[in-house]
Amino acid sequence: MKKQIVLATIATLATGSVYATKARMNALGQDQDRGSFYIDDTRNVFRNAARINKTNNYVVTEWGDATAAGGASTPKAEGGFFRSAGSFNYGLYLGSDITDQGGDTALAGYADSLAGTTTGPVFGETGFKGRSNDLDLFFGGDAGVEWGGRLHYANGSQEQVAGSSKKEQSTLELGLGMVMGDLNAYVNYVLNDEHKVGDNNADKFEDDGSMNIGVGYNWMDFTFYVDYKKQGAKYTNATAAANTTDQTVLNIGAGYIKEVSSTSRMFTDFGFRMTDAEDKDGTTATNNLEASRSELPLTVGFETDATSWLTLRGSIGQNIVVNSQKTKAGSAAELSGTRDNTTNVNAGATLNFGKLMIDGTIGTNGTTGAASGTKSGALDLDRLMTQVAVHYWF
Amino acid sequence: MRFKGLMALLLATSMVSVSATVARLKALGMDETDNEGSYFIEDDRNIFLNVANVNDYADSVIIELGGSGKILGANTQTRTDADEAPKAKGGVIRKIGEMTYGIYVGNESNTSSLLRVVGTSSAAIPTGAETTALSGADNQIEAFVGGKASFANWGASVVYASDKYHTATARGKDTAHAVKFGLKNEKWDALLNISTGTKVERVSSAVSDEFDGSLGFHVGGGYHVNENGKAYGFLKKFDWDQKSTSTTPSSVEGGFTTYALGYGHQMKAGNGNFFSSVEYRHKEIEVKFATKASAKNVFIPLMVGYEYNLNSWLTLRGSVTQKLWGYRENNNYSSLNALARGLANAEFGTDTSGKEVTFDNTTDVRAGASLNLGKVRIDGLIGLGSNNGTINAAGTEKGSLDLDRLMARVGMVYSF
Repeated sequence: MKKQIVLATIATLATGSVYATKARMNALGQDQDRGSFYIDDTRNVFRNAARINKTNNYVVTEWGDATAAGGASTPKAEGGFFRSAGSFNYGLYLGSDITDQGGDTALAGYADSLAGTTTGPVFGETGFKGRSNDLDLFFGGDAGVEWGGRLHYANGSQEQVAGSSKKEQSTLELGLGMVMGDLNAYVNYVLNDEHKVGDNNADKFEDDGSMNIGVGYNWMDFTFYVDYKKQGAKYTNATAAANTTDQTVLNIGAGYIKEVSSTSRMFTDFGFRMTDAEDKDGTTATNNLEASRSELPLTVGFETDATSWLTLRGSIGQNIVVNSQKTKAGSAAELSGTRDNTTNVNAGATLNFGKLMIDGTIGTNGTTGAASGTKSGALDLDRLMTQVAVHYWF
Repeated sequence: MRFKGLMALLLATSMVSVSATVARLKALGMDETDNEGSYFIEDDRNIFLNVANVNDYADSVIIELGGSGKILGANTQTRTDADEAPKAKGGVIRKIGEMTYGIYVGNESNTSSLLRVVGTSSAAIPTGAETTALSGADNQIEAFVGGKASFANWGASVVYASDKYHTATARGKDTAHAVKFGLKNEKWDALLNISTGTKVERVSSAVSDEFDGSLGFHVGGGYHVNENGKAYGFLKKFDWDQKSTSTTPSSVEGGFTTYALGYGHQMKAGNGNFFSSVEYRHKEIEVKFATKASAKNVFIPLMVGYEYNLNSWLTLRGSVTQKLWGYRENNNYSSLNALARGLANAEFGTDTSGKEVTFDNTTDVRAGASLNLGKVRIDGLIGLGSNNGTINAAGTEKGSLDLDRLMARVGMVYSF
């Protein structure tokens, strides 16, 4: 309760930088899509819909392109608003495709991605209708227990010329969450997400039980959390047996927030992460691939209001002690090793203009100043911030 | 409670202002392969030189922006920390009671990476296929502890790095660990850093290489001869055995030695400081192949630098360095693998066939800045831009002040 009061005070008085955007989450070494397990942020509503009861009455726009992949260096256009209405809160968010598995492109599977290879079976095809115009509806309230729900919907189709099959894409997801005192719990489940071509669905890419479920508990300045995420897809085409790919990620850890002052705070999280992925080729068993990781990531971050108009933040993270990776292709022997270069430094800033704030990441450009995934450690003034987002609180 | 103690160890309260980062010392003329600090300029980077410095920079978070580092040739297993491609690294230092603790990650040694390339056989790295060097240390972690005794502050740290890989064509592993000790008071300081073990191997059906560190230490210290002046010296030595299934003999010895004696001067002038130093430095490396490869640089560099606080939020600094005297004496680079030859050229100069040759064009001007923004300082090097604004490697500057690519090798220090 004490922590909530402190955070509420900060959010009201200052600069608003406490609640922000994908850029803030990246700068603090957190998950940009579903937010943090322990740091209050507007992104958390995508993990636990009940968080809408704490973060509302604002409009947010994330700059980018509607067709972009959505990573830190390829931000996607999205945004929405969240409002309180009496004892309820509601929100509308456009363009969030955080569960899109890219069925409209010929992708390698999760195990391939984990192993850093592209040798396994292919999933999806460019002929599919891409997922677009995603819509999230939020609704929540507080009846002693804070509760919230999120419904995600996307749909698209394309009639073809005579003789060619119609392309269709549809997505439906449900998210439910609760916060009861220091305890919070949530579940996000993909009810349906498919791309298909043809009346008989000869070619089809469909979600296979993707979900995210977890629980967190606040104890003093600590938050303990357990989070399980599963992503899976099945790809079928007319000429071959179905290929499947899936990945599960289990996070067990603790986060700690140190309020240094009313304008300055530090964040630390430490936990165990286990990732397992498997790609199965329905036709050629030797193309099957299994990959797994066991990691113990440590992240330390900070955020401070440097001036009344500028908030700076940054973080450093690395796998500590446990850092293993295994792969097994077909019937070949299992190969094991460690992950290279897990040290990750991020930085960001917020420009505070009263009720309007501009967030971004800094230091993400290459040596030529081009926004890229290759960090050159430079501070650019021409491309000062990337993954920019603007949020207006009312 | 134990867990809480661990987490609490990482975070804390109190207010201490700290100096800066790699960028600050490089702007002030630091010319160390590992950028581990200055022997006479106070800076938080000095915790890697003399761990007793950890007591002076408590309650701070330091992050150095960057990525995975500079790729050497076409080789991706071993990388170095360079101005145009810095490695991401950082850590936190915290004081609890009378003790200071710290943890720092990602500070892999450039020397270590370069020696592993040197320690790889020519057969493993033929010209045009420079992808199979022995792997460099990765995911390094260093844990610090420091305290105060009646006669001096003391500090100690443990360094550990380990990684391995197993592909369809090769497997390899790397383990490195070290311990460091330091003492420091107002009059003198002393350091002893010991490499307690380094072992790297790469096994493939074509050729298998192994690098086994046998002795490594870094000892040094300084003494304030007056209010502004400090005499200092150090000796750094690392010996190793390198083995390969492709060479005769299969096992050869290598050694790297560097030492220096110098004098640094720091004088306060208004809102800034004037720095100068001169030292005698000797660095030498040899690998005892059937035809011994060796490189030796002996020189006396003079550095003159300044640092000035223009206002409350901006500090500028710069330096000019030149070798007053010196020579290089390098021989038989042809015994080294293709990648190591290029690195030897960059680090020691070209092969002189065993003859003494003076250094050409050693004048080096550097500049940097700090943005002081409340509890956060942002440091960086300036003037590294080329004609088109691209950040270049040191040595290819074009003398421009770019406002688009304002600073390179940026670091942030947050004091809490």
